[in-house]
Amino acid sequence: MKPQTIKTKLKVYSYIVVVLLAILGARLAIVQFFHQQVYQTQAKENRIRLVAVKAPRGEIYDRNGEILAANELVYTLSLSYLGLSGQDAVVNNLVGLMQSYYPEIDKNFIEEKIKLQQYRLFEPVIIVRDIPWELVVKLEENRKILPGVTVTVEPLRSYPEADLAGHVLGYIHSINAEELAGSDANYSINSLIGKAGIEKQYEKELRGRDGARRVEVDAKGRPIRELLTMEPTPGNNLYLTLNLELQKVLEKSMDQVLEQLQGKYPKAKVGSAVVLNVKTGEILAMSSRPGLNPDDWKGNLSDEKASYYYPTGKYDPMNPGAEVNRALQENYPPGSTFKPITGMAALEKEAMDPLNDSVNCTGRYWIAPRIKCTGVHGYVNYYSGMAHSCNTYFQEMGRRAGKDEIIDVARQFGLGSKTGIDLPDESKGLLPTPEWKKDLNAAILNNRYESLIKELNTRYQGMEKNVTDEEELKKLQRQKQQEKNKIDAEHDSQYRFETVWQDYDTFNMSIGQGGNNYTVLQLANYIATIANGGYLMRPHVMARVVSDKGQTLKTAKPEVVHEADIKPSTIAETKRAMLAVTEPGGTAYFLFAHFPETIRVAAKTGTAEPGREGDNPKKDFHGVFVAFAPFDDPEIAFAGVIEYGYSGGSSAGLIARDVFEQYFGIKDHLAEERAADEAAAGSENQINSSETGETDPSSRPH
Amino acid sequence: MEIKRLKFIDKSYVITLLILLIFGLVVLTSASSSISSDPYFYLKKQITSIVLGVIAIIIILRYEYVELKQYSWFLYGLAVLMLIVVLVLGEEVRGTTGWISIGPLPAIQPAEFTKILLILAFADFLERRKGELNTLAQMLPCFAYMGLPFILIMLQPDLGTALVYIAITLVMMYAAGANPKILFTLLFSAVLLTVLLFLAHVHLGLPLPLEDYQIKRLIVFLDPYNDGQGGRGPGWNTIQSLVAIGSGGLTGKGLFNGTQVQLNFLPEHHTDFIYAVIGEELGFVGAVFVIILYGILILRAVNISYNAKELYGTLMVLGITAMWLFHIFESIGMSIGLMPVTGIPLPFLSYGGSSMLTNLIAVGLILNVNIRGKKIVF
Repeated sequence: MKPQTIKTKLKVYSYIVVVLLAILGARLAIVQFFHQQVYQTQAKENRIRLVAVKAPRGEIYDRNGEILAANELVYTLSLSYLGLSGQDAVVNNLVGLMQSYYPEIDKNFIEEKIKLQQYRLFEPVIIVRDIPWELVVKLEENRKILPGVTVTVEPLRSYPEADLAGHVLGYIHSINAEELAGSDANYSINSLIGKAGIEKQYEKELRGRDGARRVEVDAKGRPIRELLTMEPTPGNNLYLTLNLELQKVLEKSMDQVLEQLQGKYPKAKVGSAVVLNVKTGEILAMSSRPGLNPDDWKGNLSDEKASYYYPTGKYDPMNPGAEVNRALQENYPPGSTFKPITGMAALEKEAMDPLNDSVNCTGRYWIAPRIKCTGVHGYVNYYSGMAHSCNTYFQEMGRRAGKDEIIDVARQFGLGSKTGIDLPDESKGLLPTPEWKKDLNAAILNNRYESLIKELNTRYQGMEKNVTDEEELKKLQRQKQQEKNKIDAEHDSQYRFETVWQDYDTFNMSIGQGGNNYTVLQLANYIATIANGGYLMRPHVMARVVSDKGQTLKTAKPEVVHEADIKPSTIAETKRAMLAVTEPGGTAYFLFAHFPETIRVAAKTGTAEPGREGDNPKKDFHGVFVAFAPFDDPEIAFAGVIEYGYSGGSSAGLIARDVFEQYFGIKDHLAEERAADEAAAGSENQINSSETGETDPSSRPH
Repeated sequence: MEIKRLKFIDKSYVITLLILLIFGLVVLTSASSSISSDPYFYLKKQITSIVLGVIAIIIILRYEYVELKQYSWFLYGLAVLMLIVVLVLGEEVRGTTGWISIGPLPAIQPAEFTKILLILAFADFLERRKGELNTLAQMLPCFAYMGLPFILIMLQPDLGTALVYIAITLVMMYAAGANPKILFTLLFSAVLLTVLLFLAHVHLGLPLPLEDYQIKRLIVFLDPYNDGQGGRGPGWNTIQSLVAIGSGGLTGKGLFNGTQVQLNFLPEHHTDFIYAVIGEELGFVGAVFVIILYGILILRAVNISYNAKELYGTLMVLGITAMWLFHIFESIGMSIGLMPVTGIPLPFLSYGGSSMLTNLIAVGLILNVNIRGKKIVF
């Protein structure tokens, strides 16, 4: 019996063996035949990684090829091939060698960095960027004890001229979530992106396209070999319309003026100015103070820098904030620099004879509210009115022209609309109109009315509560109705008056007060439009886009935004009137008296009430100054504002003088710097020292 | 040794084994070349183990295997002692205390050797109870006998080897004449109970005498990406093994060319996951070839067991086949997502001295039964 049973049992057992092995075989077939594609893809994804190769950002030059934003090659220290045995020892050795340069970097610091990147170890773990050359040498000497430590050369944005034209250039910084969401595939969470100025405006041109290395990695993410490299495409280089030399003079002069003014007016901390080519709209120089150094955004803004750029809390004139480009992101009342508009409006209305129409200035305008003049000017015409900046004359001209004509002319000269400059976040300014006035005051009055009614209701509610007598209550209600009627009547009359354009609005507007609020850039462009005979140009900063191989991809062309529908004689008379400002007796005579006859300057000074809280209305004025030159064939226009500079001529006017002197070769404001450079160069190299030192004639285009 | 008896040796058995061993060495060379500075480091050690194993076979063949019967209790005692020693002195490797080192000798895994010792002792134990295994009461001593080492191995904890013990016990008892109904019922209830316990643990938080990682590993093979870390946690091994084998296709990527293996995505690829190396680098063809070799090796052994002179030999050989069968099914099964991941080696292929030596000793025992069998099988 036993043999049979055992035989059967062994048979059963053999079947079980075969079935179990067949199950394995069947499962194997499923995995290897039916799911092969899926697993092959997965195996590939496992081992292939794309490592971004940073594209060098395009460089930025001034019009003459002077570099403004460069890519400095820096040494970057990183760790690669991590996870090998002995990593601990390497990290210890590295920390030891770096001790004297980076005392803050210890083992934990490095291990944290490795941990942060634990799933991307195929990319080198960057320990520090921009290490000093001495450390590079030291690491190289100790190569043997530092396997896996690499020093690579990497492009890092740098601005060789520091804060020169900082607001124009802008800056780059780490991309934020919002920008990343709106960006294309060329950006990652580690990308830097232009945040302001040219860097923001021309981000697309400057960025280039990152390349990639296809790297085969092992399970720990260590690179094993490179399979393919896609070279990065460098960003395009930008040539700006800026003239580095003129920019330097502008900023130097502005700094000097601000410093001098601060002795008398401590709040004089803010200024901005624009110099542009009246024929093309090219911006030759643009400055904003307090200044901005793009390098400050290299790492993270320090607390001190953050409060310098973005002060928090109530506006403090002593720390006004430096991030904003005041040449185009801030509005200023133009003050008397608006007067040429008023004059042109009167001329267009044929309501004025520039020479023979005299107005008698007795120190006040004769129509209410009888706004004071800057002096007692006696009989003045258009020329002397402009030269003395006579308020009486221009209020009368404003009255004659009427608000509609003034608004129309102002619009035609670009006031109250964006100039369309190729810089981000431009402000629109404000050209006061009846609609604007109505909207503004209606809102204010309605608010006040509502709060008065509310107060009335609560007051009477309280009183009615305490009254039980029927008679008494009725009396109270009558009383309340009377009060309400009074409020209604007052509101109605105020509303009817204050939401409607009044004569005094025209008077205020005529002399650049009231609601007038423009950017410095708008003022410059308006003056340029007068200078070039009525062509409102689109100002621009970009001159050319050039590929990294030197091929010109784009060239900015002068673009006429609007051809003013203004009689040539109107413009000619106005230019003539502005010339009178720099002639003997004019408010800006002292500035340009020494200029040669061939380079006569037409200008207008302005003093504007800032209208800020806490200002002293007798003392605190912004100095505004506009000018163009040469009078006979205008090339450049200037507009500048110095906050709390008191008067235009003695603040922004001084800057205009320096810039014009430099531009026309009357005085070299950079002689000192040039001499210092020369001395430095001369001590190194004696040759050719006599050939330099003159004003670069190429800075003046003819 | 009676040399003349060697002519009765099952030559197909020896040849199959030789093919398997050589195949194993080739695969091991590919699998281990990228994990050590000396690409032949593991190969050399494995060859050393094989040489030691062959010496062991030669020594074993000199003696009548039946003589081992008289040492049964000694062997059993030795097995239990080894398991206790390893529990007390064992070194922890990957969560289990299965390793022990004596002086300058290389560390060994006693769990491997205990399997043979227990098979030998249990074969004798069962032979003595032949015909008295019809009721549960009669079978209880057997369960107790194997239960002690089972508990000791679970304490390490080495779940894989513990399950091997169960497979060995069931197969040997079945062959020894234990009531199949009772055995089946027990097996079925055990499986059911285990499943229920796990369900209760997962859904009701019932505590189990297993480490958390083991429980996770046991369940995660069903859905390896759902391991709480998106496939980077306990599910990783199963995923990488499946990717390796699946991407191998019909003929594989070629030796030394398997990216999953050579770039170390596949963990333990020279030991527990050696089968995935075969699947990736040699494809379906190589993988099935191995299964066929195992099939021959086991079925020939079953045949040898049938021709054993007495039940002791039959049970011993069957115990060994049960051990192999479980090792093979579990090791290959976990590589292709069919079984949970438990770290047990694939016989003759996985790198490991203890395992190789144990399996070659087992071969020696089978051949011993073979050459002293009733009749010669061709």
